[in-house]
Amino acid sequence: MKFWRKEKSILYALHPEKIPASGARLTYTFGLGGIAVLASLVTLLTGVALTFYYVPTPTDAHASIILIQDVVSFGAVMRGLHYWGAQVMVVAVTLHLARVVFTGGYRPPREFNWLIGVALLVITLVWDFTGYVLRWDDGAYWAFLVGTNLLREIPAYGETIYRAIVGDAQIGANALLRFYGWHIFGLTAAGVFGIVYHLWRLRKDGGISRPVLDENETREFISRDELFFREFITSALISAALVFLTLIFPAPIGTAANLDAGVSDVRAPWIFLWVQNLLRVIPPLWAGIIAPMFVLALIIALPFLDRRGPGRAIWFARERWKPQAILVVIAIVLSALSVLEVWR
Amino acid sequence: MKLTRRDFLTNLGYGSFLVASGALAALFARFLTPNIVTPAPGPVEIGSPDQYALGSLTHIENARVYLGRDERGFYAISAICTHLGCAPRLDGDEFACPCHGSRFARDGRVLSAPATRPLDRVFVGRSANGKLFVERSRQVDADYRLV
Repeated sequence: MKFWRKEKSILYALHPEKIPASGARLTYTFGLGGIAVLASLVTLLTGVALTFYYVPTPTDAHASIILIQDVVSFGAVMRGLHYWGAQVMVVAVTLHLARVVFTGGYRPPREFNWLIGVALLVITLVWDFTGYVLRWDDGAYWAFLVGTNLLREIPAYGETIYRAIVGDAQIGANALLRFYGWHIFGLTAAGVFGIVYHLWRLRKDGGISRPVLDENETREFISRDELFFREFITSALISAALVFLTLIFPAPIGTAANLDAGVSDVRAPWIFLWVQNLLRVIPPLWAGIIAPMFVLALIIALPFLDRRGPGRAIWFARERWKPQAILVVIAIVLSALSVLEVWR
Repeated sequence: MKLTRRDFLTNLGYGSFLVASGALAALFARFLTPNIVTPAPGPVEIGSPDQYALGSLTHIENARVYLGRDERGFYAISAICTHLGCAPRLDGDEFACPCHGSRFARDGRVLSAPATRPLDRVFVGRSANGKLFVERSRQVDADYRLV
């Protein structure tokens, strides 16, 4: 009797026996998809732990976070890893998207997986925002207020959509409970399903994209064990980075939300600073609803703007200039708006 | 093209599944929309009239208004920005909104965008015991004064 057989481990089922070396090159993928998966696992695990102390009510939410930070053993570490895991996830998912655009990884037959990937980006951002709200501190409260009031700007159906999401005529106990429910169940279910589907589809589409071979070239492979080893090293480095970030930069928490008092400085979570800046200059419907939808539609459309010839798996291939140029423009505009919002 | 019985029944099956899925989605959406919402807050008592000097403009936090008094009487300006609902605060002689930079004059007029509507005026009344109260859910026009 042997209980442990390496070849019967679940990890074997999740990894192919061998994968082409060109697709696994560090300078090709930078391991970004894998880093996003690792960050989501860290966030999931620490998130489950945090639910045992967090109380999703307006009166107790902030106090329960202070309890986690100051009284619970390793509470600050647990919350810090949750916070930094989420930040690393947002960054890794975004960079992964950029990598796929700049190397043409979305090319047929991988367009469908591109769409799943974009859905995962949206899930990641909403996950992040719903988590930010749960802090129920000054900054989160006002971001929550503005973010939900934007829904009311949608013509005709705004108030209905607002109530379906917030669960009340204004934000309060119902809204906090709902965002908590979405954060820990709804988005988690969608996110885990999406990640698994994305990975499965990657296998079905023939693995990580790679260059088309010349006639006299032979394809080189790396073994499953080599892949395990690389994943292990990457995971160890990223985990260490998360621990360092947690210890050096504790997860922020402000003073408890005060619904009555005016506030002096209100700032959106960093991923939405560009929206906050736009809201200063153009009407709310355009800045808060139409502009983000437009950016999203552009991102979804990128693979379909590129129907020409080869160029897959080559960084910055000239014949694919269109999607790359659009992505660069989006990145520059959103970053500039965000930086200006911080500097004002 | 001839529609066989088999194709017809297959399509009927898929069609029924689609309709049922749509109905289920609608059911979820309707379930999420509440039938009862928290009622708007009632009157909030804010003390006696002589607490507020002529020409003053006082922030009353729990009622989310600024109470003003001029020679014509008392009035209340809503402390909720008409842009996206942040809390404007008095900055010198103007209201400034910290979220998106809207500015309003002391009487609630818009001085600078993004807000386009003046700050709301809220009902001020005097109860039987002589104390003042404000009622957020009752809007009044800018000329309204409690004499």
